[in-house]
This record gives sequence, structure tokens and C-alpha cells, in this order.
Amino acid sequence: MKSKFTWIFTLLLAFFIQFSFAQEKTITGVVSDATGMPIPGANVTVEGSQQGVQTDFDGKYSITASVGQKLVFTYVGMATQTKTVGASSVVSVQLADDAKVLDDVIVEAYRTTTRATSNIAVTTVTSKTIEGRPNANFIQTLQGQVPGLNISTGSGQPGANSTVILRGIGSINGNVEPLYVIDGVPLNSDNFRSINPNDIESVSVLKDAGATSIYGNRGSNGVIIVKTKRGSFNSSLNIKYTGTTSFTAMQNNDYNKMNSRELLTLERTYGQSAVGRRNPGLGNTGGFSEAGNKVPMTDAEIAAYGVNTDWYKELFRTGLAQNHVLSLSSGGENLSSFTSFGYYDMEGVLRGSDLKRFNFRNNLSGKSNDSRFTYNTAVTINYSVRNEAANLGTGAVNINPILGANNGAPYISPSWYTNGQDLFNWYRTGARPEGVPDIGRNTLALSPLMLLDRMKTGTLRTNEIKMIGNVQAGYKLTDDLTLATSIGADFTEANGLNVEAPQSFNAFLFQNPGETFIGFQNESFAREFSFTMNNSLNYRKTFAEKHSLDASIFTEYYKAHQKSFSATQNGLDTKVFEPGNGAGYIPFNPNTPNFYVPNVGSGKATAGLFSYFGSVDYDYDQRFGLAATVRRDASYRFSDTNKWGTFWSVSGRWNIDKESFMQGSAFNMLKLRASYGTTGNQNIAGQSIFAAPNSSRTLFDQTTGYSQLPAYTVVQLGNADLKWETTEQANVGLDFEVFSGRLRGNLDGYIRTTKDLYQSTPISGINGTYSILSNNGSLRNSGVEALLNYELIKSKDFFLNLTFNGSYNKNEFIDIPSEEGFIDNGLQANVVGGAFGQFYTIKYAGVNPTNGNLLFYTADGQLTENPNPETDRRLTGKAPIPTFQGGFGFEANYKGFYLTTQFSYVADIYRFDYDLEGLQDPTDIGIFNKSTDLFNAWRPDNRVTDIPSLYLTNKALDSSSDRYLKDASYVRLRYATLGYDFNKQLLEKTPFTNIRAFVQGENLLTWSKWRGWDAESNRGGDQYQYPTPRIFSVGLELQF
Amino acid sequence: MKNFRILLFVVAASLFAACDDAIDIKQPSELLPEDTFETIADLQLGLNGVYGAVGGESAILFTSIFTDEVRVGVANGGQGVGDGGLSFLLNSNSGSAESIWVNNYTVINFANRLILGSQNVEITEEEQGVFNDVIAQARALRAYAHIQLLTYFSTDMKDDNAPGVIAVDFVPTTDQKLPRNTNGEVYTLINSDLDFADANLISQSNPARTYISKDVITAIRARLAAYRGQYTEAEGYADLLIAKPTAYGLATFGTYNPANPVNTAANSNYYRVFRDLSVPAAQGEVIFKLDRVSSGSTGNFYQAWSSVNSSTSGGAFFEVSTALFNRLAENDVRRIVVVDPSSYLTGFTVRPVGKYAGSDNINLLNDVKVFRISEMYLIKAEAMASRGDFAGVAAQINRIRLARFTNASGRDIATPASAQEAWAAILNERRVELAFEGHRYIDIKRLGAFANAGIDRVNSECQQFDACSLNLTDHRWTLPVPRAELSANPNIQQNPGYNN
Repeated sequence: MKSKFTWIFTLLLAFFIQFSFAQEKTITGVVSDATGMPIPGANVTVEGSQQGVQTDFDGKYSITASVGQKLVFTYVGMATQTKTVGASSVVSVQLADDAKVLDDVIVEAYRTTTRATSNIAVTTVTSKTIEGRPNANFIQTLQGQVPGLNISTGSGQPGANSTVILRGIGSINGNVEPLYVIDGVPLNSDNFRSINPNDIESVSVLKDAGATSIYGNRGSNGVIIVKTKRGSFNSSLNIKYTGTTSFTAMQNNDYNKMNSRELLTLERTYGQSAVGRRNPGLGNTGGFSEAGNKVPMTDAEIAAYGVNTDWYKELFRTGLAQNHVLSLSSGGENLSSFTSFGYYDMEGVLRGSDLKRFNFRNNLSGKSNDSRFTYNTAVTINYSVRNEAANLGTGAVNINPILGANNGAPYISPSWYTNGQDLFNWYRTGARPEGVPDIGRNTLALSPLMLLDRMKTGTLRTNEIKMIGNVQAGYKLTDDLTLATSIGADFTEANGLNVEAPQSFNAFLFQNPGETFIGFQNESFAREFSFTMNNSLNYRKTFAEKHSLDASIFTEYYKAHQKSFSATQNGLDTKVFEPGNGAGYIPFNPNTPNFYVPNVGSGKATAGLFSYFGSVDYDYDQRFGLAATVRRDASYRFSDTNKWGTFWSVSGRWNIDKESFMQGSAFNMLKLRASYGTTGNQNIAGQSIFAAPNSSRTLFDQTTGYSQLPAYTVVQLGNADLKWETTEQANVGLDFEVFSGRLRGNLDGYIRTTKDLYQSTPISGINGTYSILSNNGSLRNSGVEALLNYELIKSKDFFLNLTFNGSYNKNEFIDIPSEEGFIDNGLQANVVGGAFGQFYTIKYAGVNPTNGNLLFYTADGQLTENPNPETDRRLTGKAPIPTFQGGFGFEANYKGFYLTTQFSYVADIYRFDYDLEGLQDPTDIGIFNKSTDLFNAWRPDNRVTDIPSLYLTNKALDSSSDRYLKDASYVRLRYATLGYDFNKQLLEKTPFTNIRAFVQGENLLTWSKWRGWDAESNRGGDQYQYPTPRIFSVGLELQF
Repeated sequence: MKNFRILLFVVAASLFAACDDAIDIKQPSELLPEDTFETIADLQLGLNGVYGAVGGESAILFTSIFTDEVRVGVANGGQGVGDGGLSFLLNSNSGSAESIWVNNYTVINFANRLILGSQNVEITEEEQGVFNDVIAQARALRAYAHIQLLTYFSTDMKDDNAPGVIAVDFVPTTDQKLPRNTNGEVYTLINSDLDFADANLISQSNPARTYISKDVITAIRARLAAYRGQYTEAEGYADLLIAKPTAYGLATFGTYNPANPVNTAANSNYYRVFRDLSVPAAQGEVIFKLDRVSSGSTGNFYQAWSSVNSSTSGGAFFEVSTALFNRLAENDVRRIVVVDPSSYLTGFTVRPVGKYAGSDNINLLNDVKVFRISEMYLIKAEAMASRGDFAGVAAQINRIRLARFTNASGRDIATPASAQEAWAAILNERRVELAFEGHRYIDIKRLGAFANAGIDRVNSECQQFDACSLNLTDHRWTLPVPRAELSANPNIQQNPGYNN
């Protein structure tokens, strides 16, 4: 924080020379920073006069003052020093790298306070951490930085969304993620792929009820406040350019896939091979369970087999990414501005996936001459285009490329692919390229070639325009009373394009008899606009020097609109069609009524909220503080009787370090805080403000009925009793600084209980559905968090700072509505005393040495090969959300070189590794690749093993067991950067004020038992998912 | 200060005035139940909804996999295998039980909502007949859905005191937790619905066979009586339809040439029936079928037995089982209907399910045949078997086979020598004739003990699942009440053998 401000802005102040009196003398000196480096542009003023000068390039100044007067040395980002003029005519000062100056500003909901006078639990991450990182989505950068904030991504698609959970899962069916507020504009979703991370000044994570209750109906899961950069008044033009070039590469996995010789050998052993000579003599057999209709390959044939494809290499790549950001800031007397342009282009590791983005931002601040009227505006316009792979995470063998990468047989060569038509003919009739063995006729062994075709011919693209604008204005009616208005708008428009090209394999595959023109193009359009207006009146006054009061009242109005439209054309002409264009659309023909029929869809929705609320904050002599908030909220979602909810909080603090008994202790600061309050969650079906807009009413609709004829059917069973989810949270915290501020940190403990959870509550099937959304049950999160920062070494040349943060969170149901306090969701169960999503499986025991079948435990602990998938399941105590998580790292500086590392970790987290299951499943040997683990399969001569017989007869039961439920805890070197700041003296003769060069890496090393590509995921089970990459970057930062 | 007060007042007032528009929001197109049914035309749209909810697919798919109609197919990459149907895994979490239960209750719910809504419709005297016809069709579908539920969830349809299903002739509220009615109680509701339908339906025999007609009511009654073991009534109803050969004749093999079935298949009326192509009424075969049309490229059996189409290259996840295939003689046209004709070209090594190959130029999309005339002959045969008329049994079965075989070789069955043989002959003929039409599960349950026959899988296709036979007294011949119902409804009673 400090360094950025230090080097970005040079403050210019007009100075006035006054006539000198006799006792005045000229004082000279040098102003330098903690490392002894001279500071140009520092202000030196004589207290109580108009007199002031600035230091020159060597940090030198000269000013006239009288003995006894005080000289004040100030520089943005550094602690102000005051020296009294004495006998000496030379006064040199070293300004401390006082991080406190800016760290001391605590962003609260609708105001800012200082570290000493804040009552709330908040963690702030500044631009210093966010800038220059190659992540498209800044949320990913926050991982491991904020105690209690769990961020998991689980997809390597550039710009992929992350799941963000603060202090444990607080809802089952409703929104679980925090509210995001950018420059005062609450966002509908956490779509940040369009936001330029380099524009961000700070991200503050508000955690306790004292902080979030004022957000009422949207504060239940915490609030993340993002502030973007602004210019300063009276500053000269500062131009900054940052450019990085990155290489993305796959992380490794430990699945040990087979090469082609290994796989051919396994297939021969198993008696089912895709490769080999067709044996006409075997007659009416073939298929899955027979010995196969191929003659087994000989050892010599296997040894001579020439193809050995690594499908990872064919389907993945080393992606190239570049990021350029140019920002300009300046300020005059009454107006300052910050403008930035960004261009970002990242290729995903999966071929064909990428994200390109253009950003523009302009932030203005202005004020009247008397500073009574102030205003801010912020406008950002962003345009992005991304190409994605389709059907990720699904078993779509002809569409999801990850499936081919993971499971494609190595004895298939990518060079055998020519085009979609040829591949289709091969698949259908066995007509294959010259010299290629008879593989894949009518089977999915050709799946990797189908996926190559899909990559070449398919399109799944989204163009997105996102604009956020806001205006804030305040007017001081009196010295104590301020009227303020904030108006914000969030606009997102997305255009989707999904094409199955007419020359693609899939188009031929799904061709119907008589259908001449094939393929389809879907274009979709969706627009969301939301508008927020907040008006407030603030009263702030200090009485009798020690009693400070800060009270506000607010009203807030929120309205959001959505509009969508889509059209699909079936039937395209190969010669003229191009993705995104309408040429080659085949018109409807009454002779072929089922083909060439365009499908269209259209939708719109409206949502709204209205609130009024107030807050009071009282401070006694910076020793005690007490605050209270209350908010009345209305949501459009609920029936008239349940529309309004009231949420409130109280919080207090005791600045212990101010007490007399603390005088002389090692503590520079010691503050105890406590808060209690309520918040609400009105997003009943996930994050969207538009989802489940009228669940209180039973509704019919015009639907497509019998014979494609229109019909009236009931489409929603209403629940008029739906109401708010309410979260009660108690928090106790301690903020401290010891050893002259070298060790700083926070400790927090909390209990957070969510009541009236939105759940799909079971109803009798006679209603035509098994569940309805209603408020039932309670969930509690309790935990502790710590954040520590220790400046281990702080000398002129060498600076080393250690950071640590960690949290423990226990998630448990304390009330479940069903009769037994138990909701069975198949492989997971919600039960009183257990965590949300706890796995509920049969316990796997191992391989039966007598026959190679799987062995399981029954519910009462007996070994069995045939457990009852219903009654032998047991609660595992394992869940897909971690109990422990956090991060640690260090920052080191040595003579301009700096090295920063950041590790993140999660522990006590489990999920299913279905990729491993697929690679160990013997039932589709002959179609897909396998893990070399299978060579260790049970055989009569290999009875003690953890891999069952290839011919096991109870394979189906392992899907109900914990056999593939794996520990996904990890420690990861999430980020490391090594850089060099060029010496300022060397730059003096250049136009640059600062040059910095760096190399950095993301996801460099991971220690985990997880065998897959990526231990990190936001799901309870992983299969065929896009792995997150490792990223290496080199970058350059220039300032003029 | 005074100015400020005015300003504040204006700001606050404008906000509060605006607040209602942010929180009193009715989404576009909200249609409340009380506004839905206002005219006869509305009721007809409602009836389309009831018909649209009638689904045979999940029962057909479940039956084919759980019994012995399929084996794992050439393109199976694990699809449907893990679900456990092939290894007789059946418990209250089974998806099949869950979908069959809720699908039929959806039909019942839609019918009841239509009937309730109709009370608010004001009609003229001329409209009375059409009005009654709409209600009659809704009630007939309600009856049919109740029968479907009993078929799968009643332990013994022949016992009126056995637990049946929840009989629902009202629009339930979401908090209702009802116990099962006895079979007898459900039959009372079914019969009152069928009586009303019979009295009020306008159509005797809907020409397209895709809507409920009086003849369909007769067919429903014939099947229900047979399932209940009330063979006198069953035979009586079956005879009513058999007596209409010009409307519901058996479809014949036509020019089916076993030596070149791919090219000649289209000229066989029996084949054409299953491709939903036009056939003469005298060979119409179908009494009632569920119309299936779609403008999409995928049909109702898409991704069930095959991923793409029913040809040998269509990605067969499941194929016709060897045991069933072996019962299909070369000169029996049913061979290239049960198995897709393209299979001939591979020497029947790959045998995709062919009964839902597609229609209207769309793959894997066919009307679901609910009642065919051959079932009536077979019901009649059951009635004869029950009273010891074995020659009659052979005669009824041979009437069907006469229509299906191209020549006499292996065509006619001999008169069974015993009751067991007679029942076995009926069960075997039903297996071939009604294959992939959702009968096999209930047929083995109803007739298996009489015929001393059950699941018939060849070893090579069942050993790996350790599931080659299932005892006829096993509890899995009745579906479990699904977990989803149990967790909502503590008053429901689980079927015996299932743990809860």
C-alpha cells in the first residue's frame, strides 16, 4: 500500500515565501525513507504558518523558520514527523515506512473508520497483493489471504468463477456467497471476469454482524467491499504501465495412465480389445461380456504396435497470456481523476479455450472550494470474449474434451483424424484410413478423435459487455450534518454463440433420415440491469472533546431487470455458413416438417428491494466505543405478510492500550471487540436476484403438451409461508500490535447460526413432485480465525516480513425438520450434529483375497461382498467443505530485489475422485484408457492387493461406498514472485520515476494425497473437469 | 436548515413513494390457478397437459433392464450399468421406482386440477357434451395412472385387501401425508372413473388411436381384470375388441423377406406399425398409443438403449439379450422389429433395440404403444388357461403367430399338455410379442409361478453381475415405495422385504 502511493503520486503544493523576521534562520536537511533513500517531493511546512517547501530530487530542502517553531514533514503513505527548530540549522529526518497510515483506514459498510476506532471484524487486502497477478478473476488472488474466507475454483477455464464462502456454509438452497459491493454498487452476481484487477485499490471482507447487519437482507454470508483507485487532489500527472506475459501449463497428476503397449496387454489379459483382427468365426458374439470378436494380439504384435499417443499433449497446450495495463492519474485543486486501460488475453491450457478482455475505467473526484460539497464518479466499461469447452464435468464422450484427455486410448493416433464426415463413416461402417487397424467401429473407442473434431469444428463463445457506473455526492448542511446520495448502476450484456458445425462429426452422427442439412447454431442474448439508490443523512459531532457521536439514517432502493432472447437454427449449409453469421440458414420446408425449424425463446424478469436503516456509533476518548445498527428490509420475493424483515446489531470495543495500566507495556495497540446481531438472506435459490421470484404462489403456465400442442399445466406449487433466512452471529475479537508495531494481528472467535434455512422440503409425490422450497432447520458455524504479520528483519538494506493466517470452522446442523433429524440425499446426508453435505456411504473394506471381489462393511461392522446400499451406509464425518484453511508466506526486500511467496492450505476436506474410478474401472476395458494400477489387480497369484479382480462381480456397489472418497487436503505454493526495483538514482536522467521487473508463478507446487490434477475444487466429486493450470509470468512496470 | 428540511422531505417522500414498485412485483405471465380454466377451450388445453404427463418410457426402460430383455451393448462405456438394474439392485433409492411413482401421480394431479378447475367454467347446453367428454378423458387417464401404480407397487393385485397405492381424486395440499389405500379402495375409484368415461366419451374409437375412446376404456378394463385374475370379465372385454377386426386387426408380416430384411422391412405392416407409418385399419394393431412428436433431433428413447440411433453404429448402450433374441425365429417378422434390421448386416452380432427406431424422420422417437390387439388375444388365452382350455390357448397364440410368421416353419405351437405348459406358452409369447413395451416385469410376477419360469438370461451376459436369476418369490417383484415419498410421508407403508 505504502510503496504504491509513495511512488505513484508526487504532491505539488504551492508555497509562499513570507518576509523574514530577525530571529528567523534558514534550516536545511535531507528527508529520507526508512532505507535511507532520499524522498523527492516530500512536504516540509512550518506549523501554524503558510510557509512550506518541497524536497528536491536528492531529498534536500531549505526553509526559513524561527527557533521554537515546529517543522512538519509529510509524505503520502508515510508517517508524519514533527521537529522543533532548535539551535542547529540542519534538520534531517527519516520518515518511517509507516504502513499504519493507510492500513489504519478501515472500510466499513457505509463509512470508514480507523484501526483504533473500528468495532468490527474486517480483513483488508490491498492493491499491493492484487496487482500484476495473472488471474483473470481477482477473487482467485484473494485465496489464502483472508482468514475464514474459503475460495475454491475447480476450473481452469480462463475467467472461471470461484465459489467463495465466508465462515462456513450458511445456507442449503439459498445463496452462500458474500454480497459484493464495488464502489458502493451491490452486484447481482460474482461475475468478475470482466473486472480489471489492477484497478482495485482495496478489497475489504466484512465478517461479523457488527459489520454486515447494516446490509440486512443481503448480509448473511458476509460482505466484500471493493474500492477502485482514485487520483489525489493537487497531484501531477502520473503514468503507469504494467505488462506481463504468462505461460500456462498443466499441473501434474498421479493417475499413471497406461501407454499403448500396456493397455494392449491389459486388454488382451481381460479378453476385450478394440485392436486386433476381426474373427468371423466367432459368429453371434461380440459386445461387452463375450470374449470379444477379435483374435488376441501376440506379444510380437503388441511390441510392434506403432502408435502411442499421450492425449494430454494432444488436447492440452502451453497457453500464452498477456496483460497490459496503462493508468493515468492526476489532480487539480478541485478535481482529480484516475483513468485506466487494460488489455488481457489468456489462452487456456485446453486447446480452443481462452479469454480476451478490454477494460476502461475513469474515476473522478471533485469538490467545491469550501469542501462542503464533494462528489465522486466511477465508470468502468469492459468487453470480453471467451471461448469455452462444452459439457465439462459430464460424460459426453463426443463433446467434453477432458474425457478424451483422461480416458482416450493411447493406441489411437490423432493423425488418423481427417474430417468429421470420414470419422463418422469410420465409426458407422469401419471404413478407416489406409493402414489403420480395425478399431472403433460402432464403439466409443474413437471418442478422442470425436473430441478432436469437436475442438476443430465446435464453437462455444460468449461476448460480454459489463458496465458499472456510480455517482456519489455529499453536502455538508452544517459542520456536523451531511446529506449524501449514492446512485449506482450495473449493466451486463452477454451474447452467447453455440455452434455444431454442419461438417462436424456430431452433426453427421445426429443426422436423421431424410435430413439433408445438418448442424445447428444457437445465439443467445441476455441483459441485466440493476439500479441502486442510497440516500443518507449523517450527523457527526464531538462533545466536550471526549464524546464523539456518529449517527446516520439511510434509505435504499434497488431494482433489477433482466431480458433474454435466444434463437437456434437447425440445418446449415456447409459452403456459406460461418459461426456467428446467419448465411446458410436452411428455410423451413413443409415437406420436411421436423427439420430446419428454428427454436426461439424469450424471457424477462424484474426484482426489487427496499430498505430503510440507521446506525449510531459512539466513542469515548478513543477508549471505548459502542455502535448499533437497525435495518428494515423488504424483498419482492415474499408474500405480503412476510415481505418485511428487521435486522439489527450492537458492537463495542475497549482500547485496552489506552488504559493507564498498559503504560510502558510492549503493546502499541490492544483492542478487544465484541458484536452480536442478525442478518438476512433473501436469495432463496442461489445467487441470482431473479431466481425463484414468485415461489410463494402456485402458478400455471402455457406449456408444450401432448403432441406438441399447447397445454395449461401447473408449473409451480406455491409456499405462501416463505420468509427470510436469518443469521445470528456473535463475534469476539482482539486486535493487537506489539514491539513497535512489528508484530501485528487479529484474533476472532464467532458463532454464526442460520435459522429458517431454505430447503427443498420433502412432500408427498401425490403433488406431482417430491419437494417444495420452504424454511426449515438451522445450521451453525462456529470457529476461530487468526491473522499475524511479523516484521522479522527491518534494516536499511534488508526487509523480511512473515505473514500467517488461518481459520477453523465447524459446520453443523442443529435442527433438521424431518422426523428423524435426517435428510438422506443418497451419497450425502444432512443430519443434526453433522456438517452440511456430509458423505453417507458404505464403508469400503478392501479386496477379498479369496476371489478378488470388493469387500465392504455392513452397518454393524461385518465384512460383506453384498452390502445393502440403503441400510449399510454410514455417516463418515467427512464433508466437501474444509474445516481448516488459510495461508502463509513472506515478503523479502534486499537492495531493490524483492521476493514474495504465498502458500495456501485447506485441511479436513474430502470428495469423490471419479476420474480415478474411471481409470480403474475394468468394465470398459477395450474402450477407454486405464491406470497402470490395474496391473496390480487381484489374481489367484496376487491375492493381497488393493485393486480388485478385473472380473469382479460386485463393481456396481462401489458407487455407494467410500472407495473413491479421497482426502483433498493440500498445501500449495499458491504464488511466488521475484522482482527488482531499479535504483532511483539511476533513473534520474531518464523520464521514468520507477522501473520494476519481475517473474512470478502461480500454483507452483502442491503437496496433497489427491491423485488428480488439482486438489482444489468446489464440488463434492470430480470427473472430467477442466484442471486449473500452473502459470509462469514475466512482467515489467514503468512509471513516468 | 429550513431549506434542508424541505430537501430531506422531498428526497424521503420520493423514495417512499417509489418503494412499492421495488417490492410489489408480479413477474410477467404469472397465471394463477383460478384464472387458468375459464372456457371449454381452456379445459381442452388443460387436457393436453394431462395427456402430456402420461409417460410409458420410464416403466419400459426399467422393465427392459431389470428383467431379461437387454444385455450390455457394444458402445457401453458404463452407461446404465452402475445403476444396478442388471444386477437386480432395487431399493427405495432406485430412480425407476421414484420416477414411475411420481410420473403417474403427476398425471393424477393434472387430471384432478383440471376437474377442479372445470367447476368454474360456465358452459352452454350445447357445450355440455364436449365438456363431459373432456372430463371423461381426464378421469380415464386418472384411472389408467392408478392402474399403472398398482401394477408396480401393489404386492398382489389379485387381493383386494392387499396394500395398494394412495387413491387421489382431489387436488392435494403440500402438507398431506396419506397412507396407502387397499387395492379394493383404489379399484373403486378406478371403476367409477372408467364408468363415467364410458358413459360420457363421445368417440368410440379415436381414428388416430392417440386419444382415449370407449374402446380404450374396454382395453383398460380387460387388462385390469386380467391382472386381478378376474378372467371372466377380462375375456368379455377382450372379446369386445377382438370382435372388431376391421378396426383392430392383427398386423401381418407383409412382404418381409428374412433373407433381406433391411430392404423389405418397410413393406411389412407389422414393421410399419412400430415405425408409426400408415397401415390399413384392418391391420391397425393399435388400440391406444401415446403420440410422440418433437421438433428436436432427439426422441423420447434418446440415450436409453442407444446414444444416437438404433442402427448398429448408433452407439448401443444396451442390446437385445441373447435369450430373447434366440426366441425370435428367422421367419418371424418380430425379429426385425425387436432387433433393428441393420443388425442383419452384422450377422446379428450387434443387436440394437429396434422397437423405437424412430418415426417422422426422427431417430429414437416413436409413439408408445399402450394397448394392442395382440394383448387382447393373449388375455383371452390367459382366461382359457385359467379354465383348462389348453387347445384354446394354442389357438389364440397361433392366431398371433399366423400374422407374424412368413411361413409355417416353426410357426404353430402345439396344444399344451398341462396348465404349466399353457401358462408358459402364454408367458413366452408375451415376451416376444410385447417385448420392450413394459410388460415383462409384471408378466413374470403374475404368471411366472404358474409357468414355472422367470428371469431368463444367458450366462455370459449375467455372470459378471452375479445376476442370472431372481427367485419368483423375491420381494423385488414389487417396487419399493421410493425414498422421496417415505421421507415426506411418515404414514406411507413400505412394501415387504425393503428395509424401510
